[in-house]
Amino acid sequence: MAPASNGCTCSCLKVFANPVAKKMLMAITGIGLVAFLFVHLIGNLSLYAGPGGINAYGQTLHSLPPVVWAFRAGLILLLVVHIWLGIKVTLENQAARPTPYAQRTYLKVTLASRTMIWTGAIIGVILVYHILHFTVQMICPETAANTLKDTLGRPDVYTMVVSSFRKIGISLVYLVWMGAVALHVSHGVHSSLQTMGLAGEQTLPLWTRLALCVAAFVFIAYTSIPATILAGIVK
Amino acid sequence: MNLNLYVWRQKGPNAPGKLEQLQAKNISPDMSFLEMLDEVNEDLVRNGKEPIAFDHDCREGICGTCSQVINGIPHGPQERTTVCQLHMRKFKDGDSIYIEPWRAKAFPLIKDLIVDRSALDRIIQAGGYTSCHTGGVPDGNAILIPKPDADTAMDAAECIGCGACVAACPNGSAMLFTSAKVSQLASLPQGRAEAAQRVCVMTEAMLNEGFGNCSNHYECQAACPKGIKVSFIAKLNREFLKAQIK
Amino acid sequence: MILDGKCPSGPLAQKWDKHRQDMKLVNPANKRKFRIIVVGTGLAGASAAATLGELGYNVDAFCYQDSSRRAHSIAAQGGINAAKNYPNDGDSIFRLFYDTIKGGDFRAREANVYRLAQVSNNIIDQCVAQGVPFARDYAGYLDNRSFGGAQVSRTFYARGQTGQQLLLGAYSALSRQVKAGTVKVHTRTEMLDLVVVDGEAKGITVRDLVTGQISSYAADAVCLCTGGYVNVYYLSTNAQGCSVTATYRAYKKGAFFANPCFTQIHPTCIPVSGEHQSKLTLMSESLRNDGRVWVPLKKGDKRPPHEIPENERDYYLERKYPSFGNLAPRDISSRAAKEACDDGRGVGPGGFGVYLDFADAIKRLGEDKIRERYGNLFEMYERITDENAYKQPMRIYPALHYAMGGLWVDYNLQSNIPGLFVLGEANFSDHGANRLGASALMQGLADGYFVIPYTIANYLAQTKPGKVTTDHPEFRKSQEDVSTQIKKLLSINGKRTPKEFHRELGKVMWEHVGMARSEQSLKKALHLIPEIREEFWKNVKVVGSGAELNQELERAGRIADFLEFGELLARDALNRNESCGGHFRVEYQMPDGEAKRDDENYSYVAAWEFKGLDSAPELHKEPLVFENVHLGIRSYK
Repeated sequence: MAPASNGCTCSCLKVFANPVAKKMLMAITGIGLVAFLFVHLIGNLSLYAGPGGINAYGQTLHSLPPVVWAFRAGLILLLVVHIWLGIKVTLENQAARPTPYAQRTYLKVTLASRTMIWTGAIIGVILVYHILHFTVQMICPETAANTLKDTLGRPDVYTMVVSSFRKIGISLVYLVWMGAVALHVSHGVHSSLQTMGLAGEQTLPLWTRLALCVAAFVFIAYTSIPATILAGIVK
Repeated sequence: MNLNLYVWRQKGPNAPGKLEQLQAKNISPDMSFLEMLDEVNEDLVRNGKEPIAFDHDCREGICGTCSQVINGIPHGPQERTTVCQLHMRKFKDGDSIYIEPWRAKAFPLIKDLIVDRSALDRIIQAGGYTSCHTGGVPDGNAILIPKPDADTAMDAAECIGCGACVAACPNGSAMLFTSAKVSQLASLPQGRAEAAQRVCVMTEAMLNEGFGNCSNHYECQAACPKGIKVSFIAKLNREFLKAQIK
Repeated sequence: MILDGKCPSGPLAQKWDKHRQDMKLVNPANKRKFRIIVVGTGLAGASAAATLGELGYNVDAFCYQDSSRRAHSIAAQGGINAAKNYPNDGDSIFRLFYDTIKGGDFRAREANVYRLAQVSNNIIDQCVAQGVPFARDYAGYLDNRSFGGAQVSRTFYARGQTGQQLLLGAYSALSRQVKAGTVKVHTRTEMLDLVVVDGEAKGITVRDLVTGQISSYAADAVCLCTGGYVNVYYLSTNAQGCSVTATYRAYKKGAFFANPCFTQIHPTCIPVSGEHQSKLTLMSESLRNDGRVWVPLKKGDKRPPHEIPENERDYYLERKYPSFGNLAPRDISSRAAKEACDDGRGVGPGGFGVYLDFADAIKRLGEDKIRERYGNLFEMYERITDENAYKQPMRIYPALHYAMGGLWVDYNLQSNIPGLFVLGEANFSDHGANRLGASALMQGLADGYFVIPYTIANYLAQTKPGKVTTDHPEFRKSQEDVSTQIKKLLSINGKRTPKEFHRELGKVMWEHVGMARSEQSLKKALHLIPEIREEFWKNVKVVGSGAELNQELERAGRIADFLEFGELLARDALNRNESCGGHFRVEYQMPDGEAKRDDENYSYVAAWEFKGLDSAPELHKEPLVFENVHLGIRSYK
């Protein structure tokens, strides 16, 4: 092999140009973001405990600004790397086939695997909307929790959420969002495990099913909130 | 039977190309796909027209030369079968068949259905070998190799280097090809010594040749005429990770 | 002229060692001043180019394929022999030597065959070190299996793809040298002429198959590793691109062609299904272990096989050769199949096929056992014929498979032209009149890895590096000759395609110079071939131009050479008034149909010298001397 060298020739910086390293970084950041989905979900589900639950949760969070900001910083880093690599990899992949086939029959490719960049884009755009909606609270200023307080003087997150999701348009936006997340995750989960070398002939089919389960769970758990609100179960 | 062919025709790398409609008449179901093209070509030549240029050699499914995308699938509709072993009985009278070359930036087109696959050779040249000298090696039985390892190495080594994985991959990635060689050598004690470096230089070569990234569509395994498994890609990934941690 | 094979003197077992001591060496600093051309990148070519590059020579390797990994060595299925004696079943270098020389019907050179057996063991070690995944047993040791013509288990294998794995091993060694910069591989480049300067081979003229450009390369020595010529029969198990062009054009430049009539016909191939057939596919000979070969007793019996009752079947191999039965040697079973078909009792479309029936074996062992043993072969058979061989008998027919003949070389693998070395199937040296299974891979790698590195140094040490360049007038002349022929082919613009001529030639060769040859049939062929050739040069239609990728032009050029070479092959067969190995003359047979050798008059290598297209080639003889083996009748009864 190449003249004298033990171990890898990739220098620390060069390693991130390597196609496998890029994919691993995608996988790791992706797994991090999926983990965040679960953490976030715990907070969301406190809605079912009534105004007391989620408003307490909101207040606790806001009493710990360093934690919140550290968390946000971590998230932003994950997102930036994931998005940047996602765009870079997609552009490279498109450049790798400049002339398309006139006829194409896929044997194995799924809707999810083909649309990662688009589901990713949808997730990104609606994420901005979501931040404007619940963090900056610009979308429905009349029910913004920053101004609206509950009986204990806490920001009334519960009312903000419930009144927002009563608007069908807003619920629909979140439904689309979660659809995109589910599709994205249904490929992302097993793909990450494969990329990290954690798959084998026997385990890969398991991971594929696991990914579908994760996607279905995330979709159902998150969309249950607008669904129950619209159905009048949560008031 | 009679068939309606739509064949990609292109005079040269920089010439414009298009699908040309051609008739294949009186085709016997016992013909191989390439023998059907032979017949079409003989007709073209007799009429003073240029025959369709296509790559082929051994015609028994092992040399990896033949390379056509048939109705949108590299090597055509039959599983685990190269174009040269595909027979016309898989088609029906009156069928339309689209025949296109492998398409990838790393495989520049030469003429009609012929592409330049030397990029795959360069990936091997980067490190797809053990650096043993001729002569001066130990007895073949000096290092025992557990049968499962030898079998895994053989599973990977069955790759014929046709490039169907690249042609099938929506990203034009050569990961399956590269991973087969990396896995073969990493499974054997003879290849372990250089395993870390090999996986790095071979994947770098992949990038330099303009292949896309692997995003785990697994389309390559489905198209591979030898059934090389994507579990070798996972193995390459593990080898890469090991090389970084070391 | 009596040719000298230049075998070293002394006891057989010490010849190669002694010779290695006697040969001159090139010192490391001087090696890089020499340039060597290697044509062909199969087992012999790739191993030679890699090894010579590693030694420090500058190597230019050429192949017509798009990658050096695709040479037809890749299609070999069975295995590779070596005298390791791992199973402790009594094998030895001498036994491998003896089996090979007997298998070749005593028409090979003793010293060469012994050397082959000697280095066979190194080949296995080398391949293991390269990462060739040979089959292993559960303890992790190399596994062996037995093969035709031997009573010991000495065949190493990698599933049914041994040739592929060995070639990829050699290809990886070659790739390593490409990276190191010692070897440059010129793919999609076809050798069209040998350049001889002052009696020595100093270069080649090639055509770039992509651009059509004709150019020359000069070197200090040329190695031809361009394989066999059995595509002269049109249908064979060879790849489409296999041709005689490189060796034949060397022959026209003065290299002697030895024993061209020694061709091997393999008995178990899938039969021709129609005029459209472009190639024949081999099925491993191992099928005959459990299959029974038969044809209907009645001529023209068109009933499907299961409707033919037992007493109306002719198990002709079991009838004719009761002791060997279905396992009769390759040449005998091939001939017997042809006789049955010529008698009008052949089966399948066209009547060129015999049944290979597994019904009894399935009854005896069960379908699962048969599937376990031959599943992949049954699958391949079904893919090609659409017939299920578990339910109905397979149809098989013999097909051309290998060329034992080739350019004449001495013990150093050097032809009669100094500086021209010939390796692997392209030379004639090791297999005599018949090659045993699993020996072709052994020879290719032996020549490339372990013989040529020594013998080429002996030649180079006695020359000056870079003696000639492509500016020499011989190169210009060579390029002009090549261009002239191409222009001529393109200008005829006749009515028939090159392929039609090839098919016609193939029919003549198969019918008259095939499995059973006679004086009459050979004379007929010698009359017919020049006629086809003449028509070819008047009526062939080659479309396109020479300045582009033009597969019709490539084909036409190769067929033009086959059309001359076929005549040489027939002439050699006519000269050899005996039957031996793959060469069977119906006039010379034992009462029981065995080949009847004539050691007194034909124990020689027939080496032919080109004397112009209009005159007969001149025959030179190299007498074969057997000091260590007794020339017995090759009976496998």
